[in-house]
Amino acid sequence: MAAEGQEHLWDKEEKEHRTYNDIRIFTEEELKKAAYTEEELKAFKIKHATPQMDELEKGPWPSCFSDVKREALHRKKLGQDNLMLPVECCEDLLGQVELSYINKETHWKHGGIIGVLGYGGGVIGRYSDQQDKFPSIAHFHTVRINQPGGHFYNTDYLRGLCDICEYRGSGIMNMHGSTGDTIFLGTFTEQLEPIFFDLTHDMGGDIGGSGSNLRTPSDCLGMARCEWACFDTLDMCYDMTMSFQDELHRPAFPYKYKFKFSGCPNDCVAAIARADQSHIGTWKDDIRIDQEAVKEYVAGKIPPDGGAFAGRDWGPFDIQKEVIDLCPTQCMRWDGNKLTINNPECTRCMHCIDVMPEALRPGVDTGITLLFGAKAPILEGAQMSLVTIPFMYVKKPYDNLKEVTRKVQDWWMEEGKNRERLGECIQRFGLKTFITDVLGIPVMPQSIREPRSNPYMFFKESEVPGGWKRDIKDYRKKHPL
Amino acid sequence: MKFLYNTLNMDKSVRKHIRELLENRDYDRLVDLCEADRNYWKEVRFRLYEIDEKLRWPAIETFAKIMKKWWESGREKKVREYIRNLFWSINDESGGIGWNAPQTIAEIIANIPVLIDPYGSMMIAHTIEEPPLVKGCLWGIGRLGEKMAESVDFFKEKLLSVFQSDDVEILGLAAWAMGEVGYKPAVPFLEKLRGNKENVSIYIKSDFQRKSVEQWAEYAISTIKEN
Amino acid sequence: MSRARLGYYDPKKPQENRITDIGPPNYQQFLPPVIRKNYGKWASHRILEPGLIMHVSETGDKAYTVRVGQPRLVSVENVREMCDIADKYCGGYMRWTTRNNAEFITDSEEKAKALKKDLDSRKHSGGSYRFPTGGTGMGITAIVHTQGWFHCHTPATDASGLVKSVADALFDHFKEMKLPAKLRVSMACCLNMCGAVHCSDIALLGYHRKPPIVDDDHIGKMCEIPLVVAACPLYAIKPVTSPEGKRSVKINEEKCMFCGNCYTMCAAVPLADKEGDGVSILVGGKISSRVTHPKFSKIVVPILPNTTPRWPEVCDVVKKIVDVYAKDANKYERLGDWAARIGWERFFEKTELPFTWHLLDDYRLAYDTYRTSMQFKFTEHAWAVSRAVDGI
Repeated sequence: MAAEGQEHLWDKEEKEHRTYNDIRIFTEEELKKAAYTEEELKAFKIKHATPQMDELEKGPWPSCFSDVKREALHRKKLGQDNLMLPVECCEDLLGQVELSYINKETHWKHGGIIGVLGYGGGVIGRYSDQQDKFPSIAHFHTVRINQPGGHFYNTDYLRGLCDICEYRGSGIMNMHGSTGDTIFLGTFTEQLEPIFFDLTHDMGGDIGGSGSNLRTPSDCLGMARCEWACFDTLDMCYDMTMSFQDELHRPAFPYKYKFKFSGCPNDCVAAIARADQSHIGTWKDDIRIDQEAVKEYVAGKIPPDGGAFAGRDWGPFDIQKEVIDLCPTQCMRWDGNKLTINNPECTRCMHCIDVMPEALRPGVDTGITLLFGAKAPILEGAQMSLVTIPFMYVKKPYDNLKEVTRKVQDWWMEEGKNRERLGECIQRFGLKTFITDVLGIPVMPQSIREPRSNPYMFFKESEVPGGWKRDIKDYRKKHPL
Repeated sequence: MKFLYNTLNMDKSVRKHIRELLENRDYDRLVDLCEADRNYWKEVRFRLYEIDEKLRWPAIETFAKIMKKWWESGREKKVREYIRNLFWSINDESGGIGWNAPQTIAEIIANIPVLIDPYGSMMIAHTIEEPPLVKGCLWGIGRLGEKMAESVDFFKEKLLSVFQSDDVEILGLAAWAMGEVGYKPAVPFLEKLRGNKENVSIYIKSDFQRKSVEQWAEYAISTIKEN
Repeated sequence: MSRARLGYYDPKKPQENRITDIGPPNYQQFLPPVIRKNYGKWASHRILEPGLIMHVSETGDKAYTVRVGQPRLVSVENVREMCDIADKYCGGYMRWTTRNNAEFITDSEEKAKALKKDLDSRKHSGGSYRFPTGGTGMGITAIVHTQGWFHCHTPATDASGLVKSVADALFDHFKEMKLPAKLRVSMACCLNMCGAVHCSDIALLGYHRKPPIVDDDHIGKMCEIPLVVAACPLYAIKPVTSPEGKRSVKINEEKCMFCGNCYTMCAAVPLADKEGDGVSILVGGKISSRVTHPKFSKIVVPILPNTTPRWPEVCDVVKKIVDVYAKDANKYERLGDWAARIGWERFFEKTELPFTWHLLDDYRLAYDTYRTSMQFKFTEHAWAVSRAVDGI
């Protein structure tokens, strides 16, 4: 499945690594010829009048409107001979968006089912409904490309992607889409297969997911640079992506399914808010404490929260107010000299660790918590994912995780109605069915905030002595009318 | 349905097994296995995206036969859910593309005729204006033949406009389909196809039939004239 | 790569040389040396100045990360410029964050500071920064958003323009770290909410306000009528048959909340309309479990107009909310935590936002939002009710 032996194809630290020059589309000379000065860029006017787009070039935040104009100029300088899409597509794009700003309506039509052969997703089709005004964006499809883990890139790979995007597309990208994919924003139908072939052959990459499939999994950067990562998010995300390629490329689910991998409960990839299957790192032993460092915080020698409050004078650090009192379970004590944590009572919310990263660290007995069922409001309402497996060790090849994953997916594929997310399916069948029947695990209070208040319990016939069969005649003997 | 949870190694053997069964068109065995083991059923549905026609068409036929079995054993709601999933895959809101969903939908209706209303006309509505799905749409119309007459008439303009295409496969499929439906207004368009000697292969009655566009047109004209 | 019109692809032999299912490139090859050497060994971090984070490893090595804000929609020229910068300062490596900021990692503080200076010096032709450093600590980072009028076909507003306007208004908070806690702003151009908009400190949501129009002539042929009826979560759609036998649906417009689910299921009941469309504002969501539990965002402004190109109404309201929050909240209190502590009545009073009937929940689980306790504060809203019943 995975490209064998291609794991270090682009690795700058390896001798024979692939470089941009090996696969580039535009030659050095072509790019040199198409270079422009800042003055040229300032003086450049696109062919449509776009006063509202111009207004959005002002102000400090990077203006994508200026950026699209920049691309328009570059395309002009490259010339039509060097581009598969019309030179003016960026200008037409701004022209159409300007029209939208005037009309306050989008000008992208309905329709747009498109893709590459053999895959059931990864390309979002779009057709303009102003094709006579803006002919060069008559089709303007978006290609989702599976991003490298942690959104890490090197410049050879990036330049390769840029060439494909500019030569075979509009030269506009999204870094990145909401799910996490690298996105080429705008190309013609005819260029879809060529882009796919360039991507797989030269870049060693693949298209991402869309439709009723497993969406492209994404992760936080985890152990690459974060001291709080409780598991290797990058490795797990990559492994799961490779193990579920069929599910990703060939939609066979009732609706979309998302995996997200966050290294700790701070949840920087928002797994708890939007993943059907959230993998969030945690630990089950004690928080590591460096007492000397704690004293340094108290003495004001180390700024709290890694210096995150530096923009304002909040006064001297008060460990009692800022850490001990804010602990949601009140499990910490500071006696003026020593910090103690009653670890079994700690809910691992990360607050104290976030405040004193040079003194406190997560435990070393780490694993993941598996939560299921998050989704956006459509249709029955928003849900966050619920704690299902409180702790599991996870080591390559992650067989225990895959076993649980397949149990859940198999059930949902079978029982889920069309367009019913996992979270809604769990609601419809009830938590008990999900836990005891589907997963076959014991129930635990950690899955609920509080026990039910409505007393409508479905006792089973087998639990009740004598069963449910009763004869009205027997009843009447005891209770005559 | 029993639950058999396989590890990754067993997945590979399921895939291999399914491929053999599809190539050999062992439909009875396929339907039984899919009923017994979800992994087989999932694998058949993945094969709907196959480019290789030798695997793809049997997968379509298997899917439809399973739907028929479920329908006849009272699992009608489930069948409708799967059909809705197929329609969702050709709805532009989904972001996905059910490359062979129109053919699968048509094949299911062929197996469960009562489903022609509304899924027959819906199939045309969802696909006739989507270039990658037009061929599937035309095949579906041909597969269902006369039953589609009313729907074909409703979408008359869009359907007859396909005869302006440069793509010989579209012309061949359109010709065959209009003949199967017995659609008289198509005759002048069919007559214009005389002289087109390019060959087109169409999957009919579980096999590929190869004729020239001209021959497909002639056959269609004579079929229409007979009725 | 091949320059031919269709590259390596031969339409006559589509299966030939087709490589599939290879997944993304392996992440390991894109990790800079200082990251590889210290993978899994990081011990702590410190923000040296806004936009510059230092991570310290157990081995003693240090990694210096410079973070820059980015608009998500970028040109290849922009990316190439970032590659030039990455080549110059970072050995040819760079990354993006989960919220669309970009990060450059070096192994020396000197390089990092030079890099930071370089990044902050670059501007677009219209005067905006190309790579403003910041987005660290107790402030805002890039505003997560969707496609809007640049690419979406169901938006009720634009994404890029609205986000640019709001980001400009909040730019100080990107460059400085003076808020009581992190503030995450997100935007979705319609109810489909692509992204984690439903759990943000401040969320901007495109909203439609006109019920669908029914295409009676086509709906019976295009859609499964029972499914359209079932698509409505409020049972506002019912099937009808004309005297000629044509099947269609009728929508009870009083019951419609414009969610567009019927339209998603069936293109014959289109929804969008520029006069009704606008932007709603939600506040108080959070994703982390730090101190308090994760929370959903709550609607506090039902609708503001799409005043292009800069959405001044939305920017004013967002700025007001942030200013009030910044002044009033305790250290570490997220916006939602603060509102919960002072009480929502105080929130509306302090932000001077009107409290209207739209903000009362009437969907599933509405009961969960009711105040069924004697704990409440007195504000003008309360006195208005007392006066209405001659109570005072």
